[in-house]
Amino acid sequence: MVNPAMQNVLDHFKDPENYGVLENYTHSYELKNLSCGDTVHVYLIVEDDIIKKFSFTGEGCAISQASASMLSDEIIGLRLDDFLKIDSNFIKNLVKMDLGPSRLKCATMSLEATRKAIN
Amino acid sequence: MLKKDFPIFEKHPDLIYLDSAATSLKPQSVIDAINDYYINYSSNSHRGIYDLAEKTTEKVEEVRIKIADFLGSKIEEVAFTPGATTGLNILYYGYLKNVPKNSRVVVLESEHNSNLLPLMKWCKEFSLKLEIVKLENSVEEIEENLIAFLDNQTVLLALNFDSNVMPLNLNFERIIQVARGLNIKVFLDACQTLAHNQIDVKKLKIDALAFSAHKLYGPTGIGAIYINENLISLLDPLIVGGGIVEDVQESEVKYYTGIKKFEAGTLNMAGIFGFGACIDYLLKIGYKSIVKQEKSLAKKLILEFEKLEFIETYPKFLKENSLFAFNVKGVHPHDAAMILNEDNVCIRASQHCTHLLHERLKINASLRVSFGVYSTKNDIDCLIDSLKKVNKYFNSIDG
Repeated sequence: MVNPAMQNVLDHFKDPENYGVLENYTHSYELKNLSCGDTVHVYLIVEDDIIKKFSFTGEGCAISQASASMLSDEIIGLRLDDFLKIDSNFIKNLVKMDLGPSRLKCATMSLEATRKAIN
Repeated sequence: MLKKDFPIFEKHPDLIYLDSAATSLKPQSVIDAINDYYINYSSNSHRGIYDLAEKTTEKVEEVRIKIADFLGSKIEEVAFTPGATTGLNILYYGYLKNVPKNSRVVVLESEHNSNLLPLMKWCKEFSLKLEIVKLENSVEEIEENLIAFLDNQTVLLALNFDSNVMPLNLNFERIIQVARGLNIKVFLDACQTLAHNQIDVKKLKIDALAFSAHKLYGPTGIGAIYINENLISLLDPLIVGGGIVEDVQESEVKYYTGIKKFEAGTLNMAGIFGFGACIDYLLKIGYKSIVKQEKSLAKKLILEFEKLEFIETYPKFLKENSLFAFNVKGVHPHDAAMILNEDNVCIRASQHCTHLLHERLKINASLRVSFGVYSTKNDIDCLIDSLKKVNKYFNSIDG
């Protein structure tokens, strides 16, 4: 039996939320993990300093893609200054798995890509 | 059952450790030897003249003798290093600095970055041409391609004796014979070899070799290089400092001319004590027994892999080696390793420091299983069960 946290990751990985390319996006960034070839490409529509829409595409391990899906549910509607307060602990709480340094790097790819897109 | 020699299995009785090519586990005798240094010696070698320091020096030199015997070299041809990467940098810098510009250096594209990157750096620095032989087609063709690159402009053939990802089982005797016929120096990275097979540097007729202790059940942070006595004077030291000079004047520094010119700074003496113990341990088990056990495990693994249609191996047809690269079709290696981790099965998932090889294989990363003397058939059964779970979770519709 797969544990509930892992099952949640698998669910998001197999059927991600907000997957695809937004039309008329205002911000975007593609992040690559050179050590394993994973990619996460984020697209945002930001209006009045609020993340109105967010989507992503990518390829890679379940953690990198599922965490992007989970993050997408959380940040749509956030003000940019509130988004910038999000850190890796927030991602850890979302994923609910014990992530070592290597896996945390995968899990925070979408967060890092979004930060870079905004900057 | 050699697991009893390794105290980590007392702390982690469910551990299925199949990552010995990254680093091997340490037997109690090695741990005891390291402690022996700190408890009973704990002084600096080759410096003090009091009894404690002299005893440390004697012990360090005993280990040097042990390594020389182990490699079939002379004592004066062995230097301690902090590990294989430093050792290879010492060898390549030292030798390549003094060869004619535009000379050729030949290497394979399957090399570990510890061998490839120092060659790339020092060849660029000294304006030399690095020829990276492509891994195309069969092993026989790779061997022919490699030999075809050797000519009278080539000054160095620098190879992993065994790949850390995809063993090629090249005919080294033949390759070295061709190189020697053209007066090309042969340097080997033996990191993945010495835990499984002994190398006699004189019989194999190689000029230099580097390896680390931690892949042969020894401590981290210590390794050794062998340099043929006729070559030592031609190599400049990469790292300079205390312990390698005959005299220092403001205008001139007179370095040792022998092998110890490559041992600047305080040696890792605890590591050296452990190094000696790991060689004793290896020889006590004996290579014949190690090879027999590994072949039996390899045979089982290959048979099991052949039954699993969701496993893709690199190369496609496996030979009875001590390590195996593969993927679960359609599953990222990190995900597979994560599921295996839940079952305490430890294997490597990455590019294993061989970026060019993975590019050649047209894959982002791979999984790697590697055996040690403590590996058992039960370990393989656990691995296979866990891989079936990976396939079920990721590749079944309702997984």
